[in-house]
Amino acid sequence: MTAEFEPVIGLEIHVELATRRKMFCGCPNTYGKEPNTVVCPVCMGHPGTLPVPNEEAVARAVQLGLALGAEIHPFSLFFRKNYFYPDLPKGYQITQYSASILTGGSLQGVRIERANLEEETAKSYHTETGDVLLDYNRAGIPLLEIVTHPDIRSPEQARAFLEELRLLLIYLGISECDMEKGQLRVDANISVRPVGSGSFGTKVEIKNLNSFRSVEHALRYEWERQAALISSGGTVEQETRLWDEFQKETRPMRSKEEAEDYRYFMEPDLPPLQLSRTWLEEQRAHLPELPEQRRKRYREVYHLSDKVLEALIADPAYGRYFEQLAEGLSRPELAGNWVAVHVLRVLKAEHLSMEDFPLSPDQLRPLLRMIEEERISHSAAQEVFEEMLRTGRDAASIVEERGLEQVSSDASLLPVVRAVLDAHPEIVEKYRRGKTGVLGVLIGAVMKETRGRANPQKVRELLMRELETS
Amino acid sequence: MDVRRFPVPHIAHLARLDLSEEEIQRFEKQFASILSAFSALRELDLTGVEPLWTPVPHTLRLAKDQPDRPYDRNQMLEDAPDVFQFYLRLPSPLRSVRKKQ
Repeated sequence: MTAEFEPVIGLEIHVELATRRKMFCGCPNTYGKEPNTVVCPVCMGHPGTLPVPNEEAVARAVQLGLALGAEIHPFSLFFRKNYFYPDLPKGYQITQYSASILTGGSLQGVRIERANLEEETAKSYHTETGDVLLDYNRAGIPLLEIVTHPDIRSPEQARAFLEELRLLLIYLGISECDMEKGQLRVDANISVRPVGSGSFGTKVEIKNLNSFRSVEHALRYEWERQAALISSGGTVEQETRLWDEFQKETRPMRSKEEAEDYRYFMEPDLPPLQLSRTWLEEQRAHLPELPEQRRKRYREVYHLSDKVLEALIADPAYGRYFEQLAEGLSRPELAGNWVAVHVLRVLKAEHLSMEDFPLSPDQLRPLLRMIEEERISHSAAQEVFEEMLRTGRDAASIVEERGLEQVSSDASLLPVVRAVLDAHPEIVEKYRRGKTGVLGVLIGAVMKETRGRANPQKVRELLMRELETS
Repeated sequence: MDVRRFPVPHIAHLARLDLSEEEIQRFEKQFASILSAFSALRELDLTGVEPLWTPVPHTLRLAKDQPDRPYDRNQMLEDAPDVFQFYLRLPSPLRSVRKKQ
């Protein structure tokens, strides 16, 4: 069914900005504090209070705009979006409505329609008796609403876009984007149309998407539902549906008892937001290296494989660690592999962030240098690595204590190689008759004799040389 | 907008105001008179006049990202109509809508 219909998808993303204070008052921007301990008369909507916008929140929005190639409007406005709900203590939300700070720009080919600065609502909990309990700690945290054009054509593309946007926001330091803490939230619009058609179908909005995976699943479900509906002669209704994570389906939200009517008007307490050219240039100067720039640099400078590259890009801290580790190594790709494979395995297993990883790049580097110099084998290196993590001791002393140093010198290996050849005349005979595959047996014998410490590459060379010459 | 038909009941409902039939009629008349005063402005020739976004001459002042100390919780909850375990407790907004209808 879905083969005949293509989905047309647009996303609306809300991001909490990681500022130190709230959007319009001096309360700290926090998470997880005791209820109603981070509040003041402004964010609780007391009469007579006045909002003062946070410069840093404006700066973050502008930085995102620069990263997306958006048009940054040096003149934008704040509006009141009025609705009656207790999580809005003032009875309205301050937002930018039709005079956004950012318009245009794109990411992964998906065009951005606009981004608006606004404020978070309070957190509400519904009790069994039908009451609402309110915690205003969250009310007034700066929020950026990012809206895309309906340019996305598959659930996978939607997910990939969101992952790249999240990465960008993290690299910019705009938000920590922890979805479990609600710092990044996504609503999706989807309609379907016959493949090749230029027109748009009726769109459905999906809410309650708690992870990028649920975005992908919900969009797939909705694509199939709408395609089946149209194929069987039905019509799609314009509505808002909720994603049910357990049943893996979307369900119509109880229809609104009235059409949305927010009676927007200009916020009389806030004159227009005007940004000077100098200030905007300062924001440009603060831009860090962005994920796509880092990918390009890592490819060019370090020649990393795509898989290793993506693992290192996933968190700016991984890249910082990798770059420090790679410094002074003649094979930086070795550092890439070690961070991507071994270090990240430990971080994931122990639920650690890079900052909490017990070994500094300076501690780990000598181990990699020993691999580079072929003084230890890869398997021995892993053993040393585990021991370093356990004890914090340095690589060299572990290698020495355990006798893990790889034997590579002719002087040490040649007597063993000759002894093995003497001990296995029948295998030597087979080899000479052309069954070169038996070389592996001989290598294994040498490795066994040296208790795994011989450099296998060197052993192979020596064996072949002896077999050719003797 | 047709000023003679200002949707008072709709606006009152959005603001959760419970108006009597008599009040609705009174407000409709008042709104009609207020809005017709504005219609006089429509007759002005505004060609070439920039939109006035604000009558205030100063520009928006922004605050440095420096948090203040939050207020004392007990003080902030003092005026709340109902408090349960340091949360403000309110009747469900959905319930109050339904009750009205």
